[in-house]
Amino acid sequence: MRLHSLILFALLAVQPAVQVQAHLEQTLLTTVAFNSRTQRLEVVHQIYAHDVEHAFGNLVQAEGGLDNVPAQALVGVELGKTFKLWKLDGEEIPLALVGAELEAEFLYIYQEAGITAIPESMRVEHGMLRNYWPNMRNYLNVDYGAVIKSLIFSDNDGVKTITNE
Amino acid sequence: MMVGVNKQFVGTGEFTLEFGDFEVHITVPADHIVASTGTLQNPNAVLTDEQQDRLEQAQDSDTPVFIVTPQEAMANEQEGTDETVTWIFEAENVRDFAWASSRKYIWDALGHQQEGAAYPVVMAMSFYPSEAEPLWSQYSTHAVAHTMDVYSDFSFDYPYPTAISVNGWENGGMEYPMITFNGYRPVEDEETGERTYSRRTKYGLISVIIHEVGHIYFPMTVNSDERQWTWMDEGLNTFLQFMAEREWEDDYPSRRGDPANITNYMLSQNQVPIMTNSESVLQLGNNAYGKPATALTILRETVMGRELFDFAFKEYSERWMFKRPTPSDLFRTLEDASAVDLDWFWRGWFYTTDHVDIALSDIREYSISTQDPEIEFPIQRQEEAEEPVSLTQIRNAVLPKRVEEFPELEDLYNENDEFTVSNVDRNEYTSFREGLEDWELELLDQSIADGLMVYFLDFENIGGLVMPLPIRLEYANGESEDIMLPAEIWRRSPHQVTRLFLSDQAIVAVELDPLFQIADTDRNNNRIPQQIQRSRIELYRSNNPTRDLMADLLVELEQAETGEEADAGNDVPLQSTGE
Repeated sequence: MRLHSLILFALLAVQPAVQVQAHLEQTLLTTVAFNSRTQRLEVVHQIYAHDVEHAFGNLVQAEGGLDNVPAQALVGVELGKTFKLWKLDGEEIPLALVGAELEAEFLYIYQEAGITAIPESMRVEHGMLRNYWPNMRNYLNVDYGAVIKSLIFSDNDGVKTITNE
Repeated sequence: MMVGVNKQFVGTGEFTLEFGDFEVHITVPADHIVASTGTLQNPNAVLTDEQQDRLEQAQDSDTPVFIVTPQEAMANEQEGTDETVTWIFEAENVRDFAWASSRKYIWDALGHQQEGAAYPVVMAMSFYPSEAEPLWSQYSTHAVAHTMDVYSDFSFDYPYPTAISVNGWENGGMEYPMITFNGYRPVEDEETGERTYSRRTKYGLISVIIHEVGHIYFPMTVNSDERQWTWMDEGLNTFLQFMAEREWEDDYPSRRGDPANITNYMLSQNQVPIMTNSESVLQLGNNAYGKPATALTILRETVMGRELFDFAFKEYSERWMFKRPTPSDLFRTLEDASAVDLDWFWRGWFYTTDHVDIALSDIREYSISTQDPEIEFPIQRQEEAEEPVSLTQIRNAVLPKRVEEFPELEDLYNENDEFTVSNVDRNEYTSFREGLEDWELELLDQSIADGLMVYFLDFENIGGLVMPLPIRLEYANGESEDIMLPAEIWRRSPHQVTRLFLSDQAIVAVELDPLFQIADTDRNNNRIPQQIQRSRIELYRSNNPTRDLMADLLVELEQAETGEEADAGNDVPLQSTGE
């Protein structure tokens, strides 16, 4: 199997960002929730497969297309790196990549962290696909049990804080 | 009257326009093919005899016919010319006028038949360069014709002489009267030059064509104001797009319309009601496309039923074609044409950001009492005997009891328990039966003979939106039954309701919304006895046959990134942090 991940970001950086959207916006949805059964923080990214295919172009094609597991793994590794969580004191919550799968129109990427509870406040960076799609809007829902808190990452947004307070 | 047009454009609300008639003269290089709103007035001047013959042939054809073949287009784009020709188009009663011109265009056409309509034959046509092949000749014109088939069933005959799909910019779409511009092309392999396309590109193309041609119905004909209410055309059009996709093939990978797809959005904080002005909408795709399309799907499949909804939706479409409806016109027409009061639905789905989370909070089971002490008392005695003895009594077993020490303290109450039938009990039972009307007595005896059980199902409205309650009752004999409780059940008590069921079979389980039709956001509280709803990651771990391959690949990719040699024999799955 040929691996292309090392050169991916260099390529993404020079992709022309000239997509004109009259009607359809580029969005994805990330859900963060604590699973009390497994005692893990679960992160699920739901991304339109078409948006991924465009962004990764020939790199996905070279792995036989996004229907194939090697392409999904490649995308999972690369995009997984663009989502980060920290506690408020600056300590990173290390997210492990569980896997990725294609279902209908969506590519799902799964990450998790073995922590004992969901922090009441977190710092979040969500750069997923935003360097390819200039109008990309990444929606984040954090499930605090009784309430869901949301953030949107778009334009020049950097690290943001989500809190249950 | 024009409503809402005279407003500064700030980026989201697209446009809205009045109807007008156009005659447009387009002068282009003589080797160009022009696609345009309207009917071509001078075919003899701009088309060859052969092209005109092919157009005539296409009118009655079942499949698309090339007016300009791929080979002719390829030859045409090689040459170039200094000469010009003028194409003349006329269009009546259109909101706008658009056109495209290129020497690269392949052109195919198909006659869409609609007998009895103002335009009995509509030319469904596509214009695209060789770079769009082999995808476009296969799907574009078929998608245009399919859109008219489905949309006309739901609304009215297509009201113009042509419906055109032009290959435009990548991954986008835009609508104008009679002409639409749609993205999606195959990709060319750098080494072999072969053009291939993915599933996403194929279905993306079909969907965008359905959507943009659908806009010729809404809002190009039913002329709602997108500057004010984006959802009035995008939402209705996305609903019909979903219908057309479902009629293209089973399991079509639709983006929007299915209730299960909208739940995450409806839980999020970053949303505003559908009725919000276009310029102030957050999450445009979900707000103006997805949520209203889902609301209409739920109205059709769950709240009103197909017959009532389809009649009312067609009534709205016909009543407001070539006019300017506002939201209340839609709400009112769907109500007065169906005779269904939907105020609660409009309020919840269009004017609030509440979501659906309804819990099946409790089930209580009862049997019908005969009131006959000879029957009931032994049952009650048996029930009490089956209850556990109190812990204190168990531990007191060794202690002496006063009545044992002084037996004279025992009387008839010690000899006969409280379930011993007395004459007083028998007399009460006799007078109970004598006090019943004949029909009451008959009903009681029949219910007892049938062995009827009584169930109370308690429902709690947690999310705020009241909805019909689709219930699946599972019986002890293994059978099940689906029942729909209409939303009116909530009308006097919007937070909590109880529903009584009579059954001659013991119910062993009840599930709320087994077919995922009401967009319930939390399924953990939908079933008694409770069934644990595993997370996506848990399901992925347990079900996915490619999980091990994925784990190997992730290890390999991670090692490649960190510069380590990939160990071919390493098949240890990537461990999560903390393990």
